[in-house]
Amino acid sequence: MIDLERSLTELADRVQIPGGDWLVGDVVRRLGEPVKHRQQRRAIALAGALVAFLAIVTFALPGPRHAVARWLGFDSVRIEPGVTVPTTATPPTIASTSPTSQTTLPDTSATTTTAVPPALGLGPSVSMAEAMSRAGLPDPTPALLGRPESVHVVQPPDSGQIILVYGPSDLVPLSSVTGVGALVSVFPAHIEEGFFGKALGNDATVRSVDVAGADGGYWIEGAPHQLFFDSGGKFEIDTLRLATNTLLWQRGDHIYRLEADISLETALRIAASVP
Amino acid sequence: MTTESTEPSDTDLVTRARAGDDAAFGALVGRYQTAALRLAAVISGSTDDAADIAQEALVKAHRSLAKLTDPAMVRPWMLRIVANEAKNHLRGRDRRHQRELRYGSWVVAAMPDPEDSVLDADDAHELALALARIGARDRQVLAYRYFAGLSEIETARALDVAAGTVKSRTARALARLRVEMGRR
Repeated sequence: MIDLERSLTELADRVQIPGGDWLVGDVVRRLGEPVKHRQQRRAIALAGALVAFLAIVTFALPGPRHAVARWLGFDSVRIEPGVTVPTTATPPTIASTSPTSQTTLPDTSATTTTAVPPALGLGPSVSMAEAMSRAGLPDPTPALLGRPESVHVVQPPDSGQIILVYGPSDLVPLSSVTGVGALVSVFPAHIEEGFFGKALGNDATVRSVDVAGADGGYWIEGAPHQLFFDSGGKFEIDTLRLATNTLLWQRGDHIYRLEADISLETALRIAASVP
Repeated sequence: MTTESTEPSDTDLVTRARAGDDAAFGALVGRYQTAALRLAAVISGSTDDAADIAQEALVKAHRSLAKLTDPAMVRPWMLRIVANEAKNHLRGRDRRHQRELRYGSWVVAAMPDPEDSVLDADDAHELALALARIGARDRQVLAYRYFAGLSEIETARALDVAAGTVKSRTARALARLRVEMGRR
């Protein structure tokens, strides 16, 4: 069997890269350059105005939002600074529910009929079995939260993501952003490290955290933000919906997401209870 | 008898570069140019564009030196900027068949002594194609570890993840690469 590690090292040594011999000189010669000439700055200002216009159109209208977002090439999981969107003084809510025992998984075979805030745009509720079958995804139910108020399959991605909606409880209080207690979702994608820091606004923080049983996780806290992603190389944009505190964690080829107005400690406990 | 190294440390060079010493920054580039070029090549897939990508990234790194929080970790910091530049270079035009064309066109030099080699020309070609077929995330961790020669700690810093995550991600990436090699 081929020794892959040694083979990779050898390939790195042997691959021919033209032009590299002058790299030091080429870089040092450019260090004194002005960053941009005036004419370039003017062109950049015009381009910036165009991008700002596109951003307004993108976030104002659903059709252009999708088209322009695709054109701009959003990829992987990215967190974008929150944008100003109209919010109601009293967000719509769903009925409160008590958390189920940690040892008893919910009965997810039945279709629930609980009303979900329309602003979430999640569409009709389905049974967990149907959701798993349609999206080809694992059951993301955290034992600590128990049976969700409703289960949804939404797009993007084309294959679907499963979203569970929880009413407010002692564990997950009512969120003024989402109008529910918690949202738990799973979708096929990969977290792109290193993007968060530069993409988030000053009012939001992101940090890498260890989530039990996961390949890696991120905790995003502070100002509302948006989540965009793609799947399988096809660029997509998520529904325009502001998120509250969010824990993202990667397991294999799936990303799990928990959104709630809760502490990191509570979020990690809930995440650890996903089977 | 021991001799003390007269080579300035990375931290010294960063301090001097921040004070306006371009030669000091040039010395840093000289230290890590091989890693930067290889990283740019393996992430973009284009050996022809690697020098331009690395050059652009390193000029940006010089402009951002004030943001470097730990001068002792300048190597993973610089290489992360190179990796990002390589990814930006591809943005929106990274279809699989295009990737395979790029990686498949790599020119691989012969080893002076074939006895020291584990790769013949066909193996090298297939390995490059397998790199094109695995996911970008897997390719990135392999690029840092085997092409740029970063340690697990440095790779963790470059990827902004825990060191343990680097270990598990590397193992998975190698497994996926092995599967792709087996499909030839």
